[in-house]
Amino acid sequence: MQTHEKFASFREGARAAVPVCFGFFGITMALGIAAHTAGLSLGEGVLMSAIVFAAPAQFPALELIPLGGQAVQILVSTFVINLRFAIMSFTLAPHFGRVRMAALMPAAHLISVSTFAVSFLGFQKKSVQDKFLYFLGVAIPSYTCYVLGTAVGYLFGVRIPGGFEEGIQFVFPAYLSALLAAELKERQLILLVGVAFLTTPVVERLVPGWGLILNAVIVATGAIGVEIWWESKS
Amino acid sequence: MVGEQVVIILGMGLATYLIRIFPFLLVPRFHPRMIRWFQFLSYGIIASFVWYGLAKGAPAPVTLSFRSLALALTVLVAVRSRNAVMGMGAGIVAVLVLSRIGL
Repeated sequence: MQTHEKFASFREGARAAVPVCFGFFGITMALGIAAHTAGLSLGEGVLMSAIVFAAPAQFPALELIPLGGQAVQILVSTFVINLRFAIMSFTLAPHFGRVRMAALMPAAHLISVSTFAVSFLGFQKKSVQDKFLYFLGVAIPSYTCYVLGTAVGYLFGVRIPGGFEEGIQFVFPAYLSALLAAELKERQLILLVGVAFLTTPVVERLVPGWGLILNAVIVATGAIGVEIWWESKS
Repeated sequence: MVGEQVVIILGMGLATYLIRIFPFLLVPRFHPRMIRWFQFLSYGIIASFVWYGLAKGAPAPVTLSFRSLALALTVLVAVRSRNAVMGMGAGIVAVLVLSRIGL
Protein backbone atom coordinates (compact mmCIF):
# COMPACT_ATOMS: atom_id res chain seq x y z
CA MET A 1 0.00 0.00 0.00
CA GLN A 2 1.29 3.47 -0.93
CA THR A 3 2.14 5.97 1.81
CA HIS A 4 -0.44 8.47 0.55
CA GLU A 5 -3.14 5.77 0.63
CA LYS A 6 -2.27 5.03 4.26
CA PHE A 7 -2.36 8.72 5.10
CA ALA A 8 -5.77 8.96 3.41
CA SER A 9 -7.08 6.39 5.92
CA PHE A 10 -5.74 8.48 8.79
CA ARG A 11 -7.29 11.64 7.34
CA GLU A 12 -10.64 9.91 6.84
CA GLY A 13 -10.53 8.79 10.47
CA ALA A 14 -9.67 12.31 11.62
CA ARG A 15 -12.67 13.70 9.72
CA ALA A 16 -14.93 11.14 11.41
CA ALA A 17 -13.52 12.25 14.78
CA VAL A 18 -14.85 15.83 14.55
CA PRO A 19 -18.25 15.09 16.18
CA VAL A 20 -16.50 12.94 18.81
CA CYS A 21 -14.32 15.95 19.69
CA PHE A 22 -17.41 18.13 20.21
CA GLY A 23 -18.99 15.49 22.44
CA PHE A 24 -15.76 14.94 24.38
CA PHE A 25 -15.25 18.66 24.97
CA GLY A 26 -18.67 18.90 26.60
CA ILE A 27 -17.99 15.92 28.89
CA THR A 28 -14.40 16.72 29.81
CA MET A 29 -15.00 20.36 30.64
CA ALA A 30 -17.36 18.98 33.31
CA LEU A 31 -14.57 16.58 34.35
CA GLY A 32 -12.16 19.50 34.72
CA ILE A 33 -14.66 21.36 36.91
CA ALA A 34 -15.23 18.18 39.00
CA ALA A 35 -11.43 17.73 39.41
CA HIS A 36 -11.11 21.34 40.60
CA THR A 37 -13.99 20.86 43.06
CA ALA A 38 -12.43 17.60 44.34
CA GLY A 39 -9.27 19.51 45.28
CA LEU A 40 -6.98 18.05 42.62
CA SER A 41 -4.26 20.23 41.12
CA LEU A 42 -4.43 21.07 37.40
CA GLY A 43 -1.63 18.56 36.76
CA GLU A 44 -3.47 15.80 38.64
CA GLY A 45 -6.76 16.50 36.86
CA VAL A 46 -5.10 16.44 33.44
CA LEU A 47 -3.01 13.38 34.40
CA MET A 48 -6.19 11.51 35.33
CA SER A 49 -7.81 12.26 31.97
CA ALA A 50 -4.59 11.46 30.10
CA ILE A 51 -3.91 8.07 31.67
CA VAL A 52 -7.42 6.83 32.47
CA PHE A 53 -9.32 8.24 29.44
CA ALA A 54 -12.65 6.91 30.70
CA ALA A 55 -15.13 9.49 32.02
CA PRO A 56 -17.60 6.96 33.55
CA ALA A 57 -14.80 5.77 35.87
CA GLN A 58 -13.36 9.24 36.51
CA PHE A 59 -16.55 10.92 37.76
CA PRO A 60 -17.11 8.43 40.65
CA ALA A 61 -13.40 8.59 41.54
CA LEU A 62 -13.61 12.39 41.75
CA GLU A 63 -16.51 12.01 44.18
CA LEU A 64 -14.53 9.60 46.39
CA ILE A 65 -11.04 11.19 46.37
CA PRO A 66 -11.95 14.12 48.69
CA LEU A 67 -13.22 11.64 51.32
CA GLY A 68 -9.72 10.15 51.72
CA GLY A 69 -8.82 6.50 52.37
CA GLN A 70 -10.90 5.30 49.42
CA ALA A 71 -8.05 4.01 47.24
CA VAL A 72 -9.17 0.36 47.15
CA GLN A 73 -12.79 1.25 46.41
CA ILE A 74 -11.73 3.64 43.64
CA LEU A 75 -9.43 1.07 42.02
CA VAL A 76 -11.98 -1.76 42.21
CA SER A 77 -14.79 0.42 40.80
CA THR A 78 -12.47 1.67 38.02
CA PHE A 79 -11.64 -1.92 37.09
CA VAL A 80 -15.26 -3.05 37.07
CA ILE A 81 -16.60 0.02 35.22
CA ASN A 82 -13.88 -0.26 32.58
CA LEU A 83 -14.21 -4.02 31.97
CA ARG A 84 -16.24 -3.16 28.88
CA PHE A 85 -13.01 -2.10 27.16
CA ALA A 86 -11.88 -5.75 27.08
CA ILE A 87 -14.78 -6.65 24.79
CA MET A 88 -14.00 -3.66 22.55
CA SER A 89 -10.32 -4.70 22.35
CA PHE A 90 -11.35 -8.28 21.52
CA THR A 91 -13.57 -6.92 18.74
CA LEU A 92 -10.89 -4.65 17.30
CA ALA A 93 -8.09 -7.23 17.53
CA PRO A 94 -9.01 -9.19 14.35
CA HIS A 95 -9.02 -5.91 12.38
CA PHE A 96 -5.46 -5.14 13.50
CA GLY A 97 -4.14 -8.62 12.68
CA ARG A 98 -0.88 -7.59 11.03
CA VAL A 99 -0.04 -4.63 13.24
CA ARG A 100 3.06 -5.09 15.40
CA MET A 101 2.70 -5.23 19.15
CA ALA A 102 5.01 -2.21 19.53
CA ALA A 103 2.38 -0.13 17.70
CA LEU A 104 -0.61 -1.79 19.35
CA MET A 105 0.62 -1.16 22.90
CA PRO A 106 0.29 2.64 22.86
CA ALA A 107 -2.75 2.51 20.53
CA ALA A 108 -4.71 0.26 22.93
CA HIS A 109 -4.76 3.12 25.42
CA LEU A 110 -6.90 5.15 22.99
CA ILE A 111 -9.84 2.71 23.01
CA SER A 112 -13.01 4.26 24.40
CA VAL A 113 -16.68 3.62 23.61
CA SER A 114 -16.66 6.58 21.22
CA THR A 115 -13.39 5.84 19.39
CA PHE A 116 -14.36 2.17 19.19
CA ALA A 117 -17.86 2.81 17.82
CA VAL A 118 -16.81 5.36 15.18
CA SER A 119 -13.81 3.26 14.08
CA PHE A 120 -15.81 0.04 13.88
CA LEU A 121 -18.47 1.69 11.70
CA GLY A 122 -15.71 3.21 9.54
CA PHE A 123 -14.12 -0.22 9.04
CA GLN A 124 -17.23 -1.31 7.14
CA LYS A 125 -16.47 1.23 4.38
CA LYS A 126 -14.56 0.04 1.34
CA SER A 127 -12.67 3.34 1.17
CA VAL A 128 -10.80 2.56 4.40
CA GLN A 129 -7.59 0.88 3.22
CA ASP A 130 -5.67 0.75 6.49
CA LYS A 131 -7.92 0.10 9.48
CA PHE A 132 -5.24 0.70 12.08
CA LEU A 133 -4.40 4.13 10.69
CA TYR A 134 -8.11 4.91 10.41
CA PHE A 135 -8.46 4.02 14.11
CA LEU A 136 -5.50 6.29 14.96
CA GLY A 137 -7.09 9.04 12.86
CA VAL A 138 -10.23 8.79 14.97
CA ALA A 139 -8.52 8.22 18.30
CA ILE A 140 -5.62 10.70 18.40
CA PRO A 141 -7.70 13.89 17.82
CA SER A 142 -10.45 12.54 20.12
CA TYR A 143 -7.93 11.84 22.89
CA THR A 144 -6.36 15.29 22.42
CA CYS A 145 -9.78 16.96 22.74
CA TYR A 146 -10.48 14.86 25.84
CA VAL A 147 -7.31 15.96 27.64
CA LEU A 148 -7.54 19.60 26.47
CA GLY A 149 -11.21 19.78 27.49
CA THR A 150 -10.27 18.72 31.02
CA ALA A 151 -7.66 21.48 31.26
CA VAL A 152 -10.06 24.11 29.87
CA GLY A 153 -12.80 23.03 32.31
CA TYR A 154 -10.34 23.12 35.22
CA LEU A 155 -8.77 26.48 34.37
CA PHE A 156 -11.81 28.44 33.27
CA GLY A 157 -14.68 26.52 34.85
CA VAL A 158 -16.37 26.90 31.50
CA ARG A 159 -19.91 25.71 31.34
CA ILE A 160 -21.84 25.28 28.14
CA PRO A 161 -24.33 28.16 27.78
CA GLY A 162 -27.87 27.29 28.80
CA GLY A 163 -29.98 26.16 25.88
CA PHE A 164 -27.02 24.56 24.10
CA GLU A 165 -26.50 21.74 26.62
CA GLU A 166 -29.21 19.67 24.97
CA GLY A 167 -27.53 20.07 21.58
CA ILE A 168 -24.08 19.09 22.91
CA GLN A 169 -25.48 16.07 24.76
CA PHE A 170 -27.23 14.98 21.61
CA VAL A 171 -24.14 15.17 19.34
CA PHE A 172 -22.85 11.68 19.95
CA PRO A 173 -26.10 9.64 19.91
CA ALA A 174 -27.14 11.60 16.81
CA TYR A 175 -23.81 10.94 15.10
CA LEU A 176 -23.85 7.21 15.85
CA SER A 177 -27.47 6.74 14.83
CA ALA A 178 -26.88 8.73 11.62
CA LEU A 179 -23.80 6.62 10.84
CA LEU A 180 -25.81 3.45 11.39
CA ALA A 181 -28.70 4.75 9.29
CA ALA A 182 -26.48 5.92 6.43
CA GLU A 183 -24.16 2.92 6.26
CA LEU A 184 -26.13 -0.17 7.29
CA LYS A 185 -27.47 -2.20 4.40
CA GLU A 186 -27.50 -5.82 5.62
CA ARG A 187 -31.02 -6.71 6.80
CA GLN A 188 -29.89 -8.91 9.72
CA LEU A 189 -27.73 -6.08 11.08
CA ILE A 190 -30.53 -3.51 10.75
CA LEU A 191 -32.83 -5.86 12.67
CA LEU A 192 -30.16 -6.52 15.29
CA VAL A 193 -29.55 -2.79 15.83
CA GLY A 194 -33.29 -2.17 16.24
CA VAL A 195 -33.69 -5.02 18.73
CA ALA A 196 -30.59 -4.02 20.72
CA PHE A 197 -31.78 -0.40 20.92
CA LEU A 198 -35.23 -1.40 22.18
CA THR A 199 -34.07 -4.01 24.70
CA THR A 200 -31.35 -1.87 26.33
CA PRO A 201 -33.70 -0.10 28.81
CA VAL A 202 -35.18 -3.47 29.82
CA VAL A 203 -31.78 -5.06 30.54
CA GLU A 204 -30.55 -1.87 32.21
CA ARG A 205 -33.56 -1.94 34.52
CA LEU A 206 -32.95 -5.62 35.39
CA VAL A 207 -29.18 -5.26 35.87
CA PRO A 208 -28.45 -1.56 36.54
CA GLY A 209 -25.07 -0.38 35.27
CA TRP A 210 -24.53 -3.38 32.98
CA GLY A 211 -27.18 -2.75 30.32
CA LEU A 212 -24.69 -1.66 27.65
CA ILE A 213 -22.55 -4.80 27.54
CA LEU A 214 -24.99 -7.40 28.83
CA ASN A 215 -27.71 -6.39 26.38
CA ALA A 216 -25.26 -6.48 23.47
CA VAL A 217 -23.97 -9.94 24.52
CA ILE A 218 -27.53 -11.33 24.78
CA VAL A 219 -28.65 -9.85 21.45
CA ALA A 220 -25.45 -10.89 19.61
CA THR A 221 -25.65 -14.44 20.97
CA GLY A 222 -29.33 -14.66 20.04
CA ALA A 223 -28.56 -13.38 16.53
CA ILE A 224 -25.74 -15.86 15.96
CA GLY A 225 -28.04 -18.65 17.20
CA VAL A 226 -30.74 -17.61 14.73
CA GLU A 227 -28.16 -17.41 11.93
CA ILE A 228 -26.86 -20.95 12.66
CA TRP A 229 -30.43 -22.29 12.82
CA TRP A 230 -31.33 -20.53 9.55
CA GLU A 231 -28.27 -21.91 7.76
CA SER A 232 -28.91 -25.45 8.98
CA LYS A 233 -32.52 -25.17 7.84
CA SER A 234 -31.70 -23.97 4.34
CA MET B 1 7.31 12.39 47.31
CA VAL B 2 4.28 11.37 45.28
CA GLY B 3 0.96 12.12 46.97
CA GLU B 4 -1.85 9.63 47.60
CA GLN B 5 -3.99 11.21 44.89
CA VAL B 6 -1.31 10.68 42.24
CA VAL B 7 -0.87 7.04 43.34
CA ILE B 8 -4.64 6.50 42.99
CA ILE B 9 -4.64 8.11 39.53
CA LEU B 10 -1.68 5.97 38.41
CA GLY B 11 -3.44 2.86 39.76
CA MET B 12 -6.62 3.77 37.86
CA GLY B 13 -4.57 4.26 34.69
CA LEU B 14 -2.77 0.92 35.10
CA ALA B 15 -5.99 -1.01 35.82
CA THR B 16 -7.69 0.51 32.77
CA TYR B 17 -4.70 -0.03 30.50
CA LEU B 18 -4.39 -3.71 31.44
CA ILE B 19 -8.05 -4.24 30.52
CA ARG B 20 -7.49 -2.54 27.15
CA ILE B 21 -4.27 -4.34 26.19
CA PHE B 22 -5.05 -7.84 27.54
CA PRO B 23 -7.12 -9.03 24.53
CA PHE B 24 -4.33 -7.97 22.13
CA LEU B 25 -1.74 -9.94 24.14
CA LEU B 26 -3.75 -13.11 23.65
CA VAL B 27 -3.03 -12.81 19.91
CA PRO B 28 -6.51 -14.05 19.12
CA ARG B 29 -7.11 -16.31 16.14
CA PHE B 30 -10.85 -16.47 15.90
CA HIS B 31 -13.10 -18.86 14.07
CA PRO B 32 -15.14 -17.01 11.37
CA ARG B 33 -18.28 -17.64 13.44
CA MET B 34 -16.64 -15.93 16.41
CA ILE B 35 -15.72 -12.94 14.24
CA ARG B 36 -19.33 -12.77 13.08
CA TRP B 37 -20.41 -12.82 16.77
CA PHE B 38 -18.05 -9.94 17.50
CA GLN B 39 -19.56 -8.04 14.56
CA PHE B 40 -23.05 -8.56 16.03
CA LEU B 41 -21.73 -7.61 19.46
CA SER B 42 -20.24 -4.37 18.14
CA TYR B 43 -23.47 -3.28 16.50
CA GLY B 44 -25.32 -4.24 19.69
CA ILE B 45 -23.00 -2.08 21.82
CA ILE B 46 -23.37 0.87 19.43
CA ALA B 47 -27.19 0.58 19.44
CA SER B 48 -27.22 0.38 23.25
CA PHE B 49 -24.90 3.35 23.42
CA VAL B 50 -27.34 5.39 21.32
CA TRP B 51 -30.05 4.57 23.85
CA TYR B 52 -27.80 5.64 26.74
CA GLY B 53 -27.03 8.91 24.97
CA LEU B 54 -30.72 9.48 24.47
CA ALA B 55 -31.68 8.76 28.08
CA LYS B 56 -28.62 10.33 29.77
CA GLY B 57 -29.50 13.24 32.00
CA ALA B 58 -33.13 13.29 30.83
CA PRO B 59 -34.79 14.86 33.88
CA ALA B 60 -38.34 14.14 32.73
CA PRO B 61 -40.15 11.96 30.17
CA VAL B 62 -40.78 15.10 28.11
CA THR B 63 -37.02 15.51 27.55
CA LEU B 64 -36.81 11.92 26.36
CA SER B 65 -39.77 12.46 24.05
CA PHE B 66 -38.27 15.41 22.20
CA ARG B 67 -34.91 13.64 22.02
CA SER B 68 -36.72 10.63 20.53
CA LEU B 69 -38.41 12.85 17.93
CA ALA B 70 -35.05 14.40 17.06
CA LEU B 71 -33.48 10.93 16.82
CA ALA B 72 -36.23 9.81 14.43
CA LEU B 73 -35.52 12.86 12.25
CA THR B 74 -31.76 12.13 12.40
CA VAL B 75 -32.31 8.59 11.13
CA LEU B 76 -34.77 9.71 8.45
CA VAL B 77 -32.46 12.40 7.04
CA ALA B 78 -29.42 10.08 7.19
CA VAL B 79 -31.28 7.30 5.35
CA ARG B 80 -32.67 9.65 2.68
CA SER B 81 -29.44 11.57 2.11
CA ARG B 82 -27.04 8.64 2.80
CA ASN B 83 -25.01 11.27 4.65
CA ALA B 84 -24.34 10.82 8.38
CA VAL B 85 -23.21 14.39 9.03
CA MET B 86 -26.35 15.81 7.42
CA GLY B 87 -28.49 13.48 9.56
CA MET B 88 -26.62 14.51 12.69
CA GLY B 89 -27.00 18.21 11.84
CA ALA B 90 -30.75 17.83 11.32
CA GLY B 91 -31.07 16.01 14.64
CA ILE B 92 -29.11 18.62 16.61
CA VAL B 93 -31.10 21.50 15.12
CA ALA B 94 -34.32 19.59 15.92
CA VAL B 95 -33.31 18.92 19.54
CA LEU B 96 -32.37 22.58 20.07
CA VAL B 97 -35.64 23.84 18.58
CA LEU B 98 -37.81 21.27 20.38
CA SER B 99 -36.13 21.92 23.75
CA ARG B 100 -36.74 25.67 23.30
CA ILE B 101 -40.42 25.28 22.55
CA GLY B 102 -40.71 22.67 25.32
CA LEU B 103 -42.23 19.83 23.33
